[in-house]
Amino acid sequence: MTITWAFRTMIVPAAQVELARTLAATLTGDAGDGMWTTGASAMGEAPATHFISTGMIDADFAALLPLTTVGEDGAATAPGAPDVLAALASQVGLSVTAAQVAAVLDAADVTDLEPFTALDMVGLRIVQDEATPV
Amino acid sequence: MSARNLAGSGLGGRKIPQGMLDSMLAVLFGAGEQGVWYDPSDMATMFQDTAGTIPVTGVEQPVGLLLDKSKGLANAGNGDRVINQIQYSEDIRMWGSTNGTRTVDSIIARNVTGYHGATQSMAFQKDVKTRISFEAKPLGFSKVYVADGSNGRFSVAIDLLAGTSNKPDDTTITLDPVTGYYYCTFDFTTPVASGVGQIGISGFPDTGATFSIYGVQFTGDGVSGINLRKVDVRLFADKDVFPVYQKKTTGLADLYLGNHAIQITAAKRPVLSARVNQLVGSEQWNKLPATDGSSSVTQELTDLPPFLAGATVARVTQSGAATSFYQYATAQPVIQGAINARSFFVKPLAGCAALRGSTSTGDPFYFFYDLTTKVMTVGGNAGSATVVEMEAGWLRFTVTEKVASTVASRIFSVAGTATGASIGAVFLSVGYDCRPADQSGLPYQRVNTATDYDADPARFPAYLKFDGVDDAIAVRTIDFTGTDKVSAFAGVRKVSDAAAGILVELGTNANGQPGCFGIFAPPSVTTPAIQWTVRGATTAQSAAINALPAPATLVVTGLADIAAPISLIRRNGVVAATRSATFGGGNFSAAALNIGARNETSVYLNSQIYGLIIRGAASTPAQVAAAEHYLSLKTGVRLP
Repeated sequence: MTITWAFRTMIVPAAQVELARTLAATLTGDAGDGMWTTGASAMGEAPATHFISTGMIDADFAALLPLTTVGEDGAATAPGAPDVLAALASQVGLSVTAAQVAAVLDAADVTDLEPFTALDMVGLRIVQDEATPV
Repeated sequence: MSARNLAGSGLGGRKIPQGMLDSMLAVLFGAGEQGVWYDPSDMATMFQDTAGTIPVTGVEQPVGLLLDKSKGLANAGNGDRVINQIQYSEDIRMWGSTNGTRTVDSIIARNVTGYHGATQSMAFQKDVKTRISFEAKPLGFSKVYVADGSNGRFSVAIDLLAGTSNKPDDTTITLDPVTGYYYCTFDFTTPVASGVGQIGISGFPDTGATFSIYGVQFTGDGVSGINLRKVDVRLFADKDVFPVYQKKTTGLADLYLGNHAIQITAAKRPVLSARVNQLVGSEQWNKLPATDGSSSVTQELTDLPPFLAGATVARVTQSGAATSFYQYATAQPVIQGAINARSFFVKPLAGCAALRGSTSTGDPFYFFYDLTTKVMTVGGNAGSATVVEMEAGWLRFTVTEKVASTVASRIFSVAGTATGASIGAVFLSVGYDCRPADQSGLPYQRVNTATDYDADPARFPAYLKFDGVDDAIAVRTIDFTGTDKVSAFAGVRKVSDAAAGILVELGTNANGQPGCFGIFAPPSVTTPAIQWTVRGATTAQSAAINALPAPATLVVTGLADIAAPISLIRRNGVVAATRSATFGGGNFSAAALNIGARNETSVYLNSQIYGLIIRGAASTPAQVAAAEHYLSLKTGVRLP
């Protein structure tokens, strides 16, 4: 058994994060459950305006997401597939429209960059935990 | 030792023989001590998924299951292959439910109308006879309904007390008079296409229930339900395969004794890595392009000494009237705010009087090496340059330079100075490398792409990379209640001090939760340290290795005895801090062991872990020395 992974850094606005979490958990099962738990904001202070998830994800799922790549000529974004995502979601009982999925994808910043580079590009910093561990 | 041996040896002399691993097991866990031993250099102990079906086969793969070696990976008496196809065979809290209230071993119907079963997603194979078995006990209800809760591919209603079923030919019901549980089996074959289905199990009352493909619907009272445990779903062909009930919490990990760590969420899994060189295309000049017109560059395989065997080198030829001729690359990554070490191999051929290098056109740093006098001249910002004469006329230059915190990339240039104009002077170059300066002792690392590079474990120690954003891995529960002593050992490279990070923590807060401990790297954004915190019944005590800014690679040891009381932290085999104030007594607790984050949800570690050993016991000086020596080999740290 093998699986093909794709490295992605995905930043989602707080307003869209619940649907993003639901979609990931619904469409990829346990492997997609628990994403976007790390908050970010412009100054790195609460409340989080965005949430970030970064790491290896199933390449088949990654292929349905938009992807912004940064080259010497600047950034370019390949679109995602909201229609397909919505159809897949409906097959497993999640009622969501393509427009709702498209709104999440449009608002998200999906790259193959390392997370702190991706955060820098959109002017965000991770929200530091209020409670220090010491 | 010759320069060549220095450059090429790396960890070549540090391979750890199997005999040492066996003795490590005996020395540290020979008495059956509770604990963990995680070894990222042992690829056989890592899997990309939590079920253990996809082994880690190379670097830059995620690790979803990390097997614990502290019990020698001995068979757990749970079979020698995964038979039970359900994800969670027990602990009903791990199941889903529409309305039911779940405990470890029960499902209680809430006081609402609807379905009250415990459910799990799983796939059933088409046209393959399958057996479901479980143990149930009346808890107000004495009837049990089992069904494919989303597709209705099968269903059975069992009356535990009457010993009857609506599928009598396929069902057995046996009472264990000691426990009061009924052992039930049900066989079925699904005639429909395979796909994601759902198993649902619920108790139901004598009256008021209706049935559908989704299960049984009724109004609960908030009290009545059933006890449920030991759920097993397997192919009928495996019905007699040992064990008849196979405990299933993760998959492969259930077959081995030990405290195995998992990360369910794919994107949160740490990644196995051995990467040191930050550049890509280290031997492909077309990936480090550009000349300035003063030279022409061709790539070629040439007769190379062993330390460069198989490399593709650049032949840089003077092509203009200027005596200086260059090759350079723009926007090459550097480590921000740290001292970078850039290195490369150069072999001067005809007409070269000197070799040079610089790190940007603005010359924050440059060097000039006279090939005749062998005098090195440096200039620009603070930095240093060294050259080592290798065999066959090759030179290895290493330049170190502090990079401003805001600088993410720089030019990488190598230049020759010809003895005259337009004479076609030539030098060869290869092996471009950029890394934090404290890792300059490791040999040159070939990097083609981010996932294709030299990961020879004899040269580059393997580590688990935690990204500081969302990576974590954890043992769901580990029981340290039998001890008030603990020893923790870690080989770690602290990459950043930009945020507090949890290296390892028992429980959800070692500072606030009784009977817990943790290593923090760093403990806070304002404290560039590594801290060992232990809490007894009432009080937490912390000991820290202070003034330890990232990046820093070390073996860290935390030892604690709540009763004594004493707690200390060691850095590379030397005591760094000791505390002897009271912890308030008590023992350690049974809790999750979290690695790389607090409770898998915060205080994420931005570091690399080369090995982690935790013993729920005091350690003798010999045991401490053995663990630290072992981790020093794994980490590449020299102990005094």
